[in-house]
Amino acid sequence: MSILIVDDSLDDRLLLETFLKKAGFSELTLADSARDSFRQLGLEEPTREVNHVDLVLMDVLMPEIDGIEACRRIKASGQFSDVPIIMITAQTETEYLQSAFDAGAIDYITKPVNKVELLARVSSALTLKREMDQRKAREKEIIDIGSEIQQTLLQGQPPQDFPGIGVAAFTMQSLRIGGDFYDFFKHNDQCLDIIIGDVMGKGIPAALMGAAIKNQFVRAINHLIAKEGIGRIPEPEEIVRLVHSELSAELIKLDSFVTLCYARVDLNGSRLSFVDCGHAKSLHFRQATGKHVVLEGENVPLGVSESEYYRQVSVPFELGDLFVFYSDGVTEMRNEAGEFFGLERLGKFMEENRRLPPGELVRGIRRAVVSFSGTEVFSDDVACVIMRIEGAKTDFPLARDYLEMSSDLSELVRVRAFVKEVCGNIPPSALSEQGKSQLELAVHEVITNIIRHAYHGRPNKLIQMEVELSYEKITFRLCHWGEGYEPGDIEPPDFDDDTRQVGFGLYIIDQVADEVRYVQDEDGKNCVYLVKNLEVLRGE
Amino acid sequence: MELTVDSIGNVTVIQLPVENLDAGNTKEFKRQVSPLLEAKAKLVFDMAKVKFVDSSGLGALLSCLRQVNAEGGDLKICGLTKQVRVIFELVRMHRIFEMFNTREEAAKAYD
Repeated sequence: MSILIVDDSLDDRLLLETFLKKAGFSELTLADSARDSFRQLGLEEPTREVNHVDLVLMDVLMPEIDGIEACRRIKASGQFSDVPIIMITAQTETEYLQSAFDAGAIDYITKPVNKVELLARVSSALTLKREMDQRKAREKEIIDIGSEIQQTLLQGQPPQDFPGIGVAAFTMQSLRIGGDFYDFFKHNDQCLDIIIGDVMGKGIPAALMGAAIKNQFVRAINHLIAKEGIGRIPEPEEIVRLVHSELSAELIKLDSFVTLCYARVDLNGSRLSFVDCGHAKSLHFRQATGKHVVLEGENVPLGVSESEYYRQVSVPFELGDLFVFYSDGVTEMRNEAGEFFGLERLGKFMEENRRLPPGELVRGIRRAVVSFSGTEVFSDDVACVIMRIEGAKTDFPLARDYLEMSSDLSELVRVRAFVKEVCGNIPPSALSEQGKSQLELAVHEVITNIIRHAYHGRPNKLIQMEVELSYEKITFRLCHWGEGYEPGDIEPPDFDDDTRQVGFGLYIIDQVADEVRYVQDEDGKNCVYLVKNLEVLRGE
Repeated sequence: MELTVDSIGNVTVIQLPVENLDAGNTKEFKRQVSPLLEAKAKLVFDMAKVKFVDSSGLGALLSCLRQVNAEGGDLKICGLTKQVRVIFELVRMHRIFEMFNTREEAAKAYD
């Protein structure tokens, strides 16, 4: 095992080295000052490879940084906090011992160093270190296995292929295994249940409890379906009541409880029904308003009161609506200043990014929470599930708008304001500000061309503009009743005659749009389609 | 559209007084500016007030540049807003025009 000797006196360093070498300790590192020891340990330069060390022998009185301060810093470093430190002190310096122990030293040897005493203390410290290392390795192994079991077998996987519902989820357990859990039950193509819960406590006991509770839910659902016979799916409140009757008394006995939300998305009835058992308040983002509503139930956690009567609450939803379920680890995450991440930040994040697919949203929330807290090591378990009501097709329009104008160049200001307003609904991650300015210009150019080439500058003719925004693209449909024209009909630009700048305009349209089509329908209406694809990452 | 004309030394600075330089007003702009495009002119267009330029506007600016260049003068541009810069870059006009942040910098470039 490896020992670091820190002493400013060359004689003392050599003496310690000789004693230890003779006793068979071959991995010795010498440092002539506290700073030198930090260098050897890699504490000075974070990029340097960290030296392994099992024991530090530290002189108390050293110039610049003394042994007590050095001891404190090594203990505070994280990677060496478990390394035992033995102080070496002259007989006359024993008044420092209290502060050395306070700084984290475990033992001391007085100078002049007695060989027998040195070797006895060193080997007892090393024995302790060895046992601690072994115990830690065992614990790590158990947590590794437990964490893997939880991630692969116990934690439900969001369904990837549920028709009409996009789902994504993430958990981060503070001890890599923990009591936040979620699962999904698919009853049929119209009906998806989600359960998200947070067991009191952390680590393996909480994870086991979470697994047991999920098991109870599966049993309750099966029991109720069997009892009802085929044809009816038990309501969420019935399921929760049965679980409560089976479980709450046991939880109370174990002095534990669980908060959870059991929710059902019913596509057929366009309703979400949920039982809120004292869980973090879920959010409902409405496509129609762009705002969110907090979903509040009225029940206490399971395991709090045997006489609790669980009731469900039901809310209608529309296509494009989003539901956010999470554990309080998200909203109660603190930053360095001690502030909570809070419901408001979560709501704001969602409102700004609500057009992103669920997979992107949960990753975004995770990033936001991590960057807010400034650490990846959390004090509480964190879980989050996002569901979007997507309807049968994933590329349904999120928004449509319509503008009518006359074939007059003075209308162009209104056209651009309209495009700008529509683009305001697209998050910057889907289309940059620069892209929006360019799109505004391209639509402007199409209208200019219609006025010039379809209506030949005749005023008071009708131009209709329809815009459709989906997750994947934004489509403008610009219709007129003038002469049909195609890009080929328009002469290339001639910059010496600025009445004919249309070729330049076509170049702009081509550069900006991903697709441009010129179509004439049977009624003689001509339409120009201008499509811009959005940078939307597919949900996972 | 009333162009504001100032001079810095022997450089003529023309402030474009509109928010939009587009199909709706390029003809008028061209009419107003053409007396100023004299031989060997040292011109600066100050575009700080302009928030939008379309292909017609770009075309008008280009034709000013060509006309001035043909007669031994030059035209520089200053004060481009962010939105207008995006449009300039889209059609690579930033490679054709010499662009500056302020009219003083543009005028100094004539020294």
